[in-house]
Amino acid sequence: MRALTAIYRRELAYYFQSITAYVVIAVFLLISGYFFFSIFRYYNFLSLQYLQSDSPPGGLNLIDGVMRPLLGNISILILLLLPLLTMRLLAEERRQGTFELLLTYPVSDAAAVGGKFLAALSVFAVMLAGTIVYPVMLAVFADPEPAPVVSGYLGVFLMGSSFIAMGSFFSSLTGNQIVAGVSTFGAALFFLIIGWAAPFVGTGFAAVLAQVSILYHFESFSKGIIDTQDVSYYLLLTAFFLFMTVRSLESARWRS
Amino acid sequence: MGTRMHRILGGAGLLLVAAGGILYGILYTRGWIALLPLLAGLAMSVTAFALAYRSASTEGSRRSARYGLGTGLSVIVLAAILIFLQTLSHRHNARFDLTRNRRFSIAPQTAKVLDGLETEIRIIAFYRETSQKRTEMQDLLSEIADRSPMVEYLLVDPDRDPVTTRSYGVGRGGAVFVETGGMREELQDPGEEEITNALARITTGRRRAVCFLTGHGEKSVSDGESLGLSSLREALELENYDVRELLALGEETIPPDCDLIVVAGPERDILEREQSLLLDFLTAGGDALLMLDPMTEIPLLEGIVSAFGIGLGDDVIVDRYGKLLAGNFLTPVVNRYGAHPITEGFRHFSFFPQARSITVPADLPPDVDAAVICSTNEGAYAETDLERLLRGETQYEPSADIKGPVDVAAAAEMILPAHRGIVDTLAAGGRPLRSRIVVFGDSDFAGNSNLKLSGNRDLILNAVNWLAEAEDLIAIRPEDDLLQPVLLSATQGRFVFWIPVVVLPALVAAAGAAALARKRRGG
Repeated sequence: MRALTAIYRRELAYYFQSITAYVVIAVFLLISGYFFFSIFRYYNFLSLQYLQSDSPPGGLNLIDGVMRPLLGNISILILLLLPLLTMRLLAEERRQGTFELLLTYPVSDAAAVGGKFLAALSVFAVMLAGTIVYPVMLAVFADPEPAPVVSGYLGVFLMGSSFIAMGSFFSSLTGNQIVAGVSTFGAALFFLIIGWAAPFVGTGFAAVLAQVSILYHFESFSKGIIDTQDVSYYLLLTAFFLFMTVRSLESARWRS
Repeated sequence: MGTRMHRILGGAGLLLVAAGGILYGILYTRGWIALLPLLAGLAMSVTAFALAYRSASTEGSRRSARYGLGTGLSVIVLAAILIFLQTLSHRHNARFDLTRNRRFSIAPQTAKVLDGLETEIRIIAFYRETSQKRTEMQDLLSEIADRSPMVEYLLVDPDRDPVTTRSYGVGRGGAVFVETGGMREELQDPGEEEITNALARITTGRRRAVCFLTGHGEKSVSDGESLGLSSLREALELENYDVRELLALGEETIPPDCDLIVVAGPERDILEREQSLLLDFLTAGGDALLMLDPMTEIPLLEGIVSAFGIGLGDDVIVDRYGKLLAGNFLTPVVNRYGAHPITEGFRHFSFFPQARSITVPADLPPDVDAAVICSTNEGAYAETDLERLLRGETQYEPSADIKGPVDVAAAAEMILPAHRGIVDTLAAGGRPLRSRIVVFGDSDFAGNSNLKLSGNRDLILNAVNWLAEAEDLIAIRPEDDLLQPVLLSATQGRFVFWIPVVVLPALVAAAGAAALARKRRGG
């Protein structure tokens, strides 16, 4: 446990003492801020239309009209940005040669992986925390339902943690950060869009594909529903990749 | 040679396994073909590994080979365990709808019907990708399917899958079919209430009964001639209705299992006794479809529809476009439809050979809601000088005739107070008793030769479905839609731009610059 905390603090210090974390967070907030602005502005426009006509458009509430599309866009954004955070997690060590040091140090593989994962997760949490401004703004102007906002953020957080776990794994496989980043992006994208093949295959297979798809499991969180199968999906996916990362470290040790 | 061949063999083996998987996904129904590459690939990979192992020169490389195998196996085992756990979680999930109005959860009545299902049901909904209703329908259907393993659903985009669309005879988006075994019901743009009722009906095998009045020269459902209603009967039976003929005069009361009475183009008026039977039927919650042709003396029938505020014109509609499209001046073309569930989204014309006008006054009887559903185009008018018409002439007279667009059909609903002898259905989750009628100023449009023309068939089937809906036993109050319009002033709009897009990222950038400066200073 002590080793894990030590690794965690070291990684966190690295993130916040270099410009990496700041750049990623600033870019993230810039783009998601713009998403929020344009989605909210469109919602404003729809509201105006409704008050002038007589028939309400479906979904004219702050969750379905603002938070859901916003969180959907943010999911894609983190798909792109989180690999940038994770690609150096283990690849840098490998390249710099501190990998061997890490492997021989009295730190268990699990602690190393755990500490680094939690550090990246913390940076991600800071990113998300910055976006809390948006629902707060909504609350200033109107009355958004608080529980669906919380469930939406929970969904994004769980999704992000599975991306970070994937990122750790790919980062542990190679010394080349670019390769690590791109592979993470590819794998995450794969899990994200695997559901899109559903209309083109038979119904049984389509159901299986949907169950594997990250987006499919995110839907309910963004609507304001917490379903235990979605929570377990993300937790199990994260656990799987973290396990694979530990294995990958072990096999690297064996090889040297 | 040795190690290279093992690698090639192993690599090829893995590729074959992957190809087998993909082949299975594509060939789905004939997926057994994929078994071949799958098994061949597996065999090759295993052989490659075994050969590599045997030819391994040192103990160290053997050990690492064993180790590699161990890792691979443990990964596969872990993946299998996780998949198993997730499947368990999927089967036994708990779901919490946190929205304020629980809008993503099904009503308790629906849950009850779903839990009681014993046969497998399939729901097929036809909605375009772009329609807002599609997402709502998908949400609803996924909730329903989640609740009951007996229900399977399919969402079809008519544009993407024209074959299925045509095979179900779907004309426009928004059609939903509920089917089980051999039975199928079609619903138009249903909400949760309509679907639940259809599910309840289809499982009890209860078919709604449509009773056609006879004895006054009405069109007959057994008549296969050009103006007969045998095609209508077939269409109704396809929609899972039970079509019967009814001789009101002979009955003491109208049979209680008649959900709907149809009066199709009588040539003579009904008798007083029949009128009071029909009125009793209606005030007890029954529903009626009346198709009343022009140039018939039907004061007693008129009395029935006027109880709902609807008036019958003493005229015949003349339409120039009718001459173009149907070959004579007396077939008005209907292209205007009221905003009503029966005609919502209707885009086809309808043709009403020889029709009279229908009127809906501004002030209606208490508890009655009535609306015009069909009107002719502007070029038509209602000729009130019938003698002149019979002579073969007609001329629009502003003082006497009705200028187009002329109303030719109306729908009305009366809310009935629960009173003596009527069971209070409110307690059972039912709704206050109500009675609905639809009146058309013509009956020929539903005849065999006209039914398949343009919008005629859809029009009358929608009317029947709307009327039969009033017989639904299960009432689900639609959740109050949460409506939260937001209007921002110009200043507020700027606020919404500057804070998220500029201020926040700038703060982070500043923090980054500070951290960098500190590092440079600190060395």
